[in-house]
Formats: sequence, C-alpha cells, structure tokens
Amino acid sequence: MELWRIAVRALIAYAYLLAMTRLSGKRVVRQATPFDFVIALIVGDLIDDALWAEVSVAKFAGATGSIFVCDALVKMAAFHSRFAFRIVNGRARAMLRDGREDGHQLRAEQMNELDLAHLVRRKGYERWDDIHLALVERDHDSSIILAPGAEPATRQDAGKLREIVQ
Amino acid sequence: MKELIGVLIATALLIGATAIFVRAGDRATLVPPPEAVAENFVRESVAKQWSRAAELTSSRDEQLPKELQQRIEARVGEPTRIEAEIVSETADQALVTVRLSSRQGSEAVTFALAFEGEWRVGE
Repeated sequence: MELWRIAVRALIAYAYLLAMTRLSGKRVVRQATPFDFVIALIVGDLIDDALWAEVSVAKFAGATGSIFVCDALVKMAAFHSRFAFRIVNGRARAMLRDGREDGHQLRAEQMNELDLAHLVRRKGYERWDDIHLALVERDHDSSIILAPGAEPATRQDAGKLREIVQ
Repeated sequence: MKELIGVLIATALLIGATAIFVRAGDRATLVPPPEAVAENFVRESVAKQWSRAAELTSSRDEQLPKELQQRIEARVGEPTRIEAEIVSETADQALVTVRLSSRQGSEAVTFALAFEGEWRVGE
C-alpha cells in the first residue's frame, strides 16, 4: 500500500474529525463527559479501519457521522428536557449533610468514607461539623457549602462585632 | 440544531466527495484497494466470519468463504501469515494472489476481483 494513499486518508479523517470536534462546541477536554470518552474510543477504532483501507472513506463517514448525529440528538434532548438532561448528565449528589455522611448516596457514587474525607480535605476543610452540604457534582467535581456558623467572617460581621464592643 | 445540521452536512460532503473521486477513477485511495479486499476476505474466511466475508464478494454467497476456509484448513491449518499481492489490475478488474503460511506449510490462492463501486471478490 503506497504511503501517499495512507497520508491522504489520514488527512481526510483528520479534517473530518476536526470539523466534528468544532461542531460539538467544546473547547477543552475538561468539558468532556465520560460518554464523550466512550465516543472517542469508538471513533478511534473507526479511524483505524479507514486509515488502513479496510473500509471506504464513505463507510467511515457514514459510521462516524451516525455516532455524531446520535450524540447531537442526545445533547439536543438534554438541552430541551430536564428529564433527558438528568439521564444523560446525571445529577449532583449530597454525600455529606450537616456533618453526617449519606451512606446511600456514597454507595450510589461507589465511594466510601475515606473517599469522602479526601474530597472534603481537598477543599481545605477538616471538620465535617462545619459542613452543611458536600456535593459531588455531575462532572465529578465537588462543592462544599458550609454551615451558617462556620462561614468565614464578612465585613458585615465585623460591623456587628464593632457594635457589640461599643 | 446547528450542531446536528453541521454534522449532517460534513458527513454528506465527505460521502459525496468519495463518490465523485471514485467516479473519476480512484480505485485505491478512498476505497479499499483490491489487495486489501482479497486479504480481508481470506482473514474473515479463516476466522469463520461467513457473513462478513460474503459481504466482500460479488455474489454475497457464504458458500465461497466456507469452501475457502475448509481448503485452507486442510492444506495449511491455521495460517500465521497472510499477505496479498496484485498480479494485474485494470480500471474494473484485478487479479490478486494471497499467500498463506503456517508451520504446516504454505498456500497461494488467486482471486479475480471486480470493481462494483468497491472491489469485490469474484471467484
């Protein structure tokens, strides 16, 4: 198989996949979901068949295009329907509520207490009693909402303190 | 909606461009070349993937890969090496020899391929 033919197929596949990536609207990998990763694996396998001429470029486009059309339809559904959005993207789960872990939610996320402690420490907190809610967001990042008494002092608090002292 | 339309347009453009190039005479760049088709046909036959092998033939007959597999198994056993080579090629016809080898021996099978939008194994 001549090298230039492989190069032509590679260039075509590159341009096509670049167009698909741009059309998806994402700019960074950080924005990708686990399912985007699954799609990347499938497309990675398809491109292999196209590069080594096991299938025609039209078949490659047909297969890859179908995957991207499905993905676009699912994203459209998730955009228009809250129910579809939850199915596709999952939802945030409260692992810790008012200082106590939620065993059911932890199991649902396949986490244990050590994972939760790690997640809380990474956000710079040690005492669970100070936390009102510790959430694992749908992108698996974590959010911590502190209990009212544990929130850092604000300018208003300083004013109140000054009033008390006076 | 924009994304969906964009994907459909890009895919249609690529499929259309492939069809135009093939019509203009491309027989090995945007479609699998005859030696790749013949080699693939033998590999699928050896793996007993009858329907996938039959897809690569003009007749779509599963009998052809079955007979080939039995012949190869009798003479070579399980081949460890499969290589295809073009003997002759015109715009719509090609002759390809596929060599199979194993510890048991080696065998060469020659296929006539016809171009029907893509190369297909004839006999």
